[in-house]
Amino acid sequence: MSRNFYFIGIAFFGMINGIFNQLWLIFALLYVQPFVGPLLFGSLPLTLMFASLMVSTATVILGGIPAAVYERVTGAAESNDASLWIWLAGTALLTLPAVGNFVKIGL
Amino acid sequence: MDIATSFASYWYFHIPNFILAALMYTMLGRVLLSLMVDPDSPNYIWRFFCRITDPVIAAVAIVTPKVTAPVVRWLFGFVWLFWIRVGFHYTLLVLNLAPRAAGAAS
Repeated sequence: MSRNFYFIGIAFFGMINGIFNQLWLIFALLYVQPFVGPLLFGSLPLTLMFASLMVSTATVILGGIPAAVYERVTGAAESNDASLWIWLAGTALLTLPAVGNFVKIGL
Repeated sequence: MDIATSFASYWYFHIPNFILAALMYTMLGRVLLSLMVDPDSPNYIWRFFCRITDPVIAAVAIVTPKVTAPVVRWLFGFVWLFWIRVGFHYTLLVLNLAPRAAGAAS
């Protein structure tokens, strides 16, 4: 399978979690305002989008940790299909709490 | 509570938070600067940004799959630093050790 499909899947799961995970989105929103507010010119729409982006990226990052550990343990010089599958599965698992809202609301 | 009193009372929060914020914005600066300068540029601002952020990127690289491009790794570093700041403040808040006033976290 082309690596691009893994990346599209990982980004998709990250996006779903960033948009539909209410708990983490609100938590991020509370902190984006004081921590990054000046960078966003105090704009509420930008703040909401940035909070969503933080949750999405955090999903991708956290999902990648098991894959990175796997690469280190096996001593792989480069990422391979197994590590990319682990990354994809990790992001999918982290996205589970948001799936209900995604199915109900949709894109 | 004014700024001076807040700093004196909560220095153990403000100093690490300031260092993490400086690293976070320097990381973002490195990403933006990379659009304009070569990776091996002798530009002193670029070299300063690299020197400051390289330790963070080295730590981020340990928990990031190797397929990730360098610029993505830098952006991951930015996000890591943001969540570390959030986690740090939240931990102190739970322990009733952090400032609670609106905007005091900035």
